[in-house]
Amino acid sequence: MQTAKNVSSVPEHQRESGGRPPFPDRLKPLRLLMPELLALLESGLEDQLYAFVWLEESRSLSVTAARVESLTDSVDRGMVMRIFARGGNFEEATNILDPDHLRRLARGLRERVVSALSGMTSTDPVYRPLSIEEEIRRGLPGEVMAQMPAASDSSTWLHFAPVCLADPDRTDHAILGDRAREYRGRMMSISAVQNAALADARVFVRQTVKTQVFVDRTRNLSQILPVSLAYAMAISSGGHMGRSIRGGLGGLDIAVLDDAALLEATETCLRLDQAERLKPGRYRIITGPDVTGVIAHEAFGHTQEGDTCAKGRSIATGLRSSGHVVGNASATIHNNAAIFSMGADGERAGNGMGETGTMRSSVLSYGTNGSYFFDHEGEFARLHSLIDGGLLNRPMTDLWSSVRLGEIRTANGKRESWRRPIMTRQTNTYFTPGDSTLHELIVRVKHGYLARHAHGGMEDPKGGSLTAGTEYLEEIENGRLTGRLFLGPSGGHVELSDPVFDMLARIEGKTSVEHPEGIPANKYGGCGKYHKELVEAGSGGPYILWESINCG
Amino acid sequence: MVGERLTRGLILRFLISMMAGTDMKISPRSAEPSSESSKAPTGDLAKKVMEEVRLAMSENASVRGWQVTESEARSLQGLYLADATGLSCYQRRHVEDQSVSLLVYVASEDGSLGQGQREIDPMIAVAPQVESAIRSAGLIRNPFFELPRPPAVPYPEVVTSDESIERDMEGAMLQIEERAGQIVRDLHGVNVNSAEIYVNARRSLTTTSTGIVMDRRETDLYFEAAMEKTAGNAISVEANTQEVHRDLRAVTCEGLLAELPAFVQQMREETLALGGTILPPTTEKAMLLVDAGAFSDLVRAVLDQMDAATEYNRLPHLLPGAEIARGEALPDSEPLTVDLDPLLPAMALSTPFTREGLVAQQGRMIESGVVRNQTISHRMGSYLAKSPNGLTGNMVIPCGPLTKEELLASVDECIEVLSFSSLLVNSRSLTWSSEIKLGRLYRRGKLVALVKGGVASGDIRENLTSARYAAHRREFNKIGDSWHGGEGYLGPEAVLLRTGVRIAGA
Repeated sequence: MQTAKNVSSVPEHQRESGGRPPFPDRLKPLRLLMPELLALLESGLEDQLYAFVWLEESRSLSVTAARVESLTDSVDRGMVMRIFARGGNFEEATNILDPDHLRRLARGLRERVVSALSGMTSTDPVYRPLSIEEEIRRGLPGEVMAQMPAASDSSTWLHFAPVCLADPDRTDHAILGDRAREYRGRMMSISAVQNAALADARVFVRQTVKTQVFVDRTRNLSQILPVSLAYAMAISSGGHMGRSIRGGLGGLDIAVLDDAALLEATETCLRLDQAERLKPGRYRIITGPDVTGVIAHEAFGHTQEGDTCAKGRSIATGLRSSGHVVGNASATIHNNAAIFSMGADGERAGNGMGETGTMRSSVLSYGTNGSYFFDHEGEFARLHSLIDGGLLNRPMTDLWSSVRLGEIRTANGKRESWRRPIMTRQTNTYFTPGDSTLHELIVRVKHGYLARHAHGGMEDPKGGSLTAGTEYLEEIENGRLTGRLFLGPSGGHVELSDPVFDMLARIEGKTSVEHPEGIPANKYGGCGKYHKELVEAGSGGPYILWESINCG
Repeated sequence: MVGERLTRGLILRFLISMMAGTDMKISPRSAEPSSESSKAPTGDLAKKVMEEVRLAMSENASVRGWQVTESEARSLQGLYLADATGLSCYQRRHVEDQSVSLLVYVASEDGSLGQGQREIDPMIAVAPQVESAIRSAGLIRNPFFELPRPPAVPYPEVVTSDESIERDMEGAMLQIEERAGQIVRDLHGVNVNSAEIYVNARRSLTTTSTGIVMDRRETDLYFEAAMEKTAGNAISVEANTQEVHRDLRAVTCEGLLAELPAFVQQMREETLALGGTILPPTTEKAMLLVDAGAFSDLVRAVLDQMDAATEYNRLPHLLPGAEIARGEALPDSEPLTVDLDPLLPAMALSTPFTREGLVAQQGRMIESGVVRNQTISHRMGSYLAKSPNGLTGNMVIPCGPLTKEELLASVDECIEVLSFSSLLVNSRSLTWSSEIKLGRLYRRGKLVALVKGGVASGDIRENLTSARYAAHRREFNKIGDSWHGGEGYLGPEAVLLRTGVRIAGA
């Protein structure tokens, strides 16, 4: 069985070529057609509008091992043609990819837009995309530059893919099924050994390979994003669940649940049947990377989304212009699609914190399911700081909000799929690390709790409040974990909720990570903006000690 | 599922009343399609898939059955800002979508039955895809069951779509845009910061190896708006820290247009009432008045435990005869009664058939707090040796004797929750929890303060022990999407939860 490797352990030949999936032959005819479609959209009108063509394909295999097993094999392929003119987006989206049909759609879209613009006058400058040379001068992440040819022009096919130890093309249902059943069998064995009442164990193993192509007047880009996931869930007869999740951007080698992960999911679920209930109130809390990430995503993630700001629906606009302090010196949050390696999450070895109280830490050679090389509008991924030491920076943008706000473009134009509209969306959002060990944070807690497993979250960008869920809490008394678990006051999950400013002013300490660029663990996750528009989004950070959080 | 770790956006709560037009029909059939309405949505692709899988079935005895679903969908989507003319569209999209999927059942020598689901790729040959699906299905090991046969009686006629949308989607979009723009233009005292309008139409045709044919047409419309007080009120736009964000969904254009003025007006009234807020008091004995949307989420969790699949999967489940409530009831408590009705016209869960092709049935699920029926599918009926019953559909709950205002006045202190931040309901533990995004604190029916923040949580079975239901009936639909399952609800506009609620606040 393969396991995740350090960056340095990836064989050189794989890093250079064999480990990066190439652009697939089956999509070459469509990619060849895309410049022609672009010309149909904008040729001769470049001084009045800006157009691009987007192609995406998502191929997914999955197996669920459970009392009733299931298996899926899906492919979803669609194209979007966009004209951006006078501050508005006009799009045709289809999965009927017959070339003549696509040409008809392109002509029809152009006619509609020209007709719509005919009665309008505008002095607004037409959007002009940067050339590749200008992008390079602006600075690009190492993983992008490593795959950039020495010279290119607008017709050069630029292709990007992460290094994969396990070739995604070799994944099949037999491999997924064997892995899922093996994990489930081990969980049921753990339950049997403990003579405990595990109702069921469910293991879901999936590999999705996304191939995306973007063509506009300055660039012809493609990327392959293989995302692998192993998700184990133990369910007790009392209805409580324990979970372990591994995965991210890479081949099946990263979707591996070790014995500790399976044991934790199984035992936690059984222990939760006997867990005590939390008395509602304020407590000192340490959040693990999973919960920390949800707080980062909700704290000034949604609030710093450009389209939300442009609509007057975010409190951040006024706070930014006034220089209002929204957190203490430890409140630094980044959004970064260009995560292709990161610190491990520092999980505890066994039941304790280790003899020295330090974490098992290393560097993982893969990113999250929120990582990519360019966004759905062809903007290259770059690190973007949302808050720096309690002060707000510029918002994230998609093309529309960038132009409307006069803000720099960031790689945050995303859509659920070709079927849905573009919005400003987060990629990987995380708190930067500190300099403590987890042991040092725990020692500072006389009475409080450790929250390690996230259970959703929500932010009110206008109202400046947030809530982050955690599956359960682990009690800390006099600087030590007691081993007692607590559910919410009504026996369900626990919500951690406070006004954002208050929460960010109460960061007391953060753990360090071992990553050359200081990128902490980011977890597999997703986001639904306004409770819809589901996109993949990683989130993470170090363990953080909070002075107090309202818990219920 | 993976989605359980997802972060959440703003809360979805919407109200809608439906109008059943005589020209809106579904064409359910249990025989081979013959009319123009049965024309295959995706042309020859589904036909080729069926030919290949029939051939495979004739040559390979282990292939025990199949199901082919072809779908066609169209969507018009608009995202808007408000301006002096009403609504100004800044993103306009046309979407067309066709797909064919194959579900194939393969028996193994050990007596098990595997199944595999495959979306057919139109860019590659069909035969290898069918072969691959059969091969993959053979890897799955589930208990054997005989596949369902066509029902002995025809499917009932049920309105599930608006033919006018199917005929003229652009016209429907234009009507809604114009009406919404006019309403927004005439608003005073509030700003509409953003709006969205979606008009969707779908048709799916499912054919099975046993001769079941399910032809389903669906339409839905979506309107969303975010509103805040205008500058010039006590709070300036820049300093505003509150907004009202709601959405409205409907199956028919007529239904959406009928509801739209009152919907926006209610949003305006809520927006104008915004002001200073307090944290709710911390208590382990809170009383909450929740709206129909939140209450339907709680009841749906209970109904989930009455699905026979939860019994088979050994998950927490409720069997006929079980008491729903837990704990000692307060005086005047009203025990819960719930029916499922799939035949109500133009509602989100209206349907003539179940997913397996059973005739959809109305029925009583809970009567006076006691479970009367499980929902039993053909497959789970086979696994559990129970009779499948086809129970499915929209949730129907009787109203109580008191108005909402009378309910608020009937208790010493109560918070009316206008919106939860993200109401997460656990159908296994039957618990829920959420931050309160906005609420009103009442004492003996008198409004004391606006409430924002704090975490409310509850045990549903304790909640239902002493619940009281408002007298006014409300109907709404949630159209299912990648985030939520659908819901159709006809029942009290609000429910007073007097037990089993805790709040972490001030």
